[in-house]
Amino acid sequence: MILSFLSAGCVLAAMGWIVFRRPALALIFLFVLFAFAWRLVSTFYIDSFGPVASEQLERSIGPGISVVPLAISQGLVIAAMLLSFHPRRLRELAFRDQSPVAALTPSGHFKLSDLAYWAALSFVLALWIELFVVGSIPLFVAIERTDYLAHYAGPLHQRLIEWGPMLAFQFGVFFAMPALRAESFDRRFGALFVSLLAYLFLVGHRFSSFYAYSTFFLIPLGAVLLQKQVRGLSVRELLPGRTLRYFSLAAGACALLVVVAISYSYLVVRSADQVGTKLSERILVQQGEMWWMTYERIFLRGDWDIALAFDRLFVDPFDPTRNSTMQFLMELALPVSRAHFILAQGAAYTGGWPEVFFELGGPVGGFVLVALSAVAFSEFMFLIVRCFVQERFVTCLFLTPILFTLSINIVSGMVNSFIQLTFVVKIVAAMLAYVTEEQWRSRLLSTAVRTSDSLQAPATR
Amino acid sequence: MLPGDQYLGGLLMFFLDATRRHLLVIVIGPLVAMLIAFAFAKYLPPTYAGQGNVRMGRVDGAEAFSLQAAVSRVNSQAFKQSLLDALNASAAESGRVSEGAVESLSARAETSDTMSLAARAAAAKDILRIVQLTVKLLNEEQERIQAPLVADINAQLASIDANIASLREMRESLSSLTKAVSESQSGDAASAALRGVWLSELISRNEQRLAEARAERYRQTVRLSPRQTYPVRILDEVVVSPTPISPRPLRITFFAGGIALVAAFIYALIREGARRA
Repeated sequence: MILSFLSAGCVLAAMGWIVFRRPALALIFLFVLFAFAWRLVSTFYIDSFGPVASEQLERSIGPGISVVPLAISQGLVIAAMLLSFHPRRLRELAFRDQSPVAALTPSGHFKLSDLAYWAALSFVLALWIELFVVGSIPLFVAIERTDYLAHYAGPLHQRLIEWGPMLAFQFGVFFAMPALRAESFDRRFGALFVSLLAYLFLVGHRFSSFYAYSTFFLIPLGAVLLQKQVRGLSVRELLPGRTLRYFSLAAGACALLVVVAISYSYLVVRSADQVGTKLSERILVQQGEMWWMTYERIFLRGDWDIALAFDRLFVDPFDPTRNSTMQFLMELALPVSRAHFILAQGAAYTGGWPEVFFELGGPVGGFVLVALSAVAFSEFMFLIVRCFVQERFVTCLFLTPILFTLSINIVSGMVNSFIQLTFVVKIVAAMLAYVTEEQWRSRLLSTAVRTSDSLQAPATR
Repeated sequence: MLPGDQYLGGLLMFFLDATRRHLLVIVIGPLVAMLIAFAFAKYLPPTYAGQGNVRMGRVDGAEAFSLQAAVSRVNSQAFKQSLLDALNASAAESGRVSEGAVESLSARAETSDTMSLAARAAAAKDILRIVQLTVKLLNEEQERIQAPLVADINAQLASIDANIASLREMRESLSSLTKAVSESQSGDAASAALRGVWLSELISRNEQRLAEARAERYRQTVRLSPRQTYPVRILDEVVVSPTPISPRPLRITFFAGGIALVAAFIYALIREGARRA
């Protein structure tokens, strides 16, 4: 109990420190930190108040010290994050590359943000039109969002579900882009984002979509904050009272939307009887139950099979088009026929990271794999923040799908996406975009330097 | 603010210029890499994949172990080690099977009483041996677990057989006694009739017990009949891929070509950047 409390407390304290002392970093990693904190609290609850009944697993779980390896794994990610975003690297990032690309590029007919805005506006408008053409609005006719997606939704809605968080990230990029040059935020993208949230509310989404979309939208904002802080500006200077009030209002409205959506879903759509029990199960048990099963199997019983895990994750999963990690964990935790029945309905349980690495590496090798995944993720986050701060928007665009894949990996342990051909194509495209943008910017800069040298030379002569 | 057309146009033109200037490298480089990869792939040892469906065995209609337990058992390292030992023991007659082939063995539940066994090996016959030996080992385990039950049923059968034999002897004695009574010429007709009735009652009861014993024997025999008791067995023929699943020369060739193409593009872009600088 004391060990569990200490380990969970240390990680939560580190997260609190990041939130108050490095708020920019907290915004950039909000998607991950929130998921981590939730799972940690849930696992601590199972450890300390167990045995607790798990409705989904149809058994009792806990007590134990399962939170200790989970806290160490999360601690490794936090350490990697702090190292990747070390103040020395950030100073280099903020002051080294000061090439004024906008000043060196010849003036054109339209701005990059205008192009992005009109493209995004067309999509969002088409999405709303599609919703009204389909006719059945899930919120008003009490349809589950999964049923709407499977039976009613049009092609644009399907694309939104696949690419939504990435679109939200791009909205965030263009929303925050002017702030890099001390201009005010581009509110057009803020409005598009709000309309997207309203759309999600109408089509029956509850917490997870609002959480994913909002945290991806906030990443560029965190990057701007980081740049300003490194350059010596305070949070108050970047976000003056009025702007901060607007952001607080938006956050409050978003929270209210989530509360209404969840209440409506449980009370009207599902007509649940014991709402309190369901919610406590959802909040305190379901987040940590799959980790507890992995902990029991690997750490307590010493039962793991790397070859089997590799086979089920990469070679022969139940449904190779979805996250194979949770499919495998469910096959291990439940009678196989029941696990397959649930998976065939399109549902899956919560969790997956760091379970997948312990299934692949055992109780010791698992920590090594967790550390590797933590370093890869934090370095990638540094890369994407660097590209945004240095206004490499084309690279940023091509890195977005990889950002999504890595974020999903660190939250739900999805690893089979890394062996898909599409992922390889995304990596190659991002590499080519990065090299092209880097070389083209170098050329612009060197041409500008040569021109200014040749202009200065006759004057000195 | 960044001018969109100039920014995107500039990037695109830079990319196209780099491609145009280094077209030779971009075309020839991947082709050479593809040729080398193709030649290399031809020398790689082939691997075949095979799969067979196996039905779990039963004794007296009951499983020795559940399907899920059997799947876990086959996937366990301990079972694979036993399999490898058994394969090595018979290596003199059938040749060695690689450890990797045994490691590749995996089982998964298919229906309520069948599972599929899949394996990869350098030769199709190795896959057949792996699957057959897996079934043999499972049968041995089933026999070990169910041996007391089978022994119990066999003991019951032996006891019933002995009972039937004694009842048959009894029938013989009774019929000879009946014959003797009917042949005897004693004067007391009433006593002879009484003896006759008594003997026919005994014969009838003997026949009834004999019939019951035979029915009981049938019931016990059915418990071990092929309908109720059968070993673990392969349902259909083990299907082995007619062509090797690896190496796939075309796939390797295109993969190498893709990597070389990306490398050539990156080279062209860096050279283009350096040239302009």
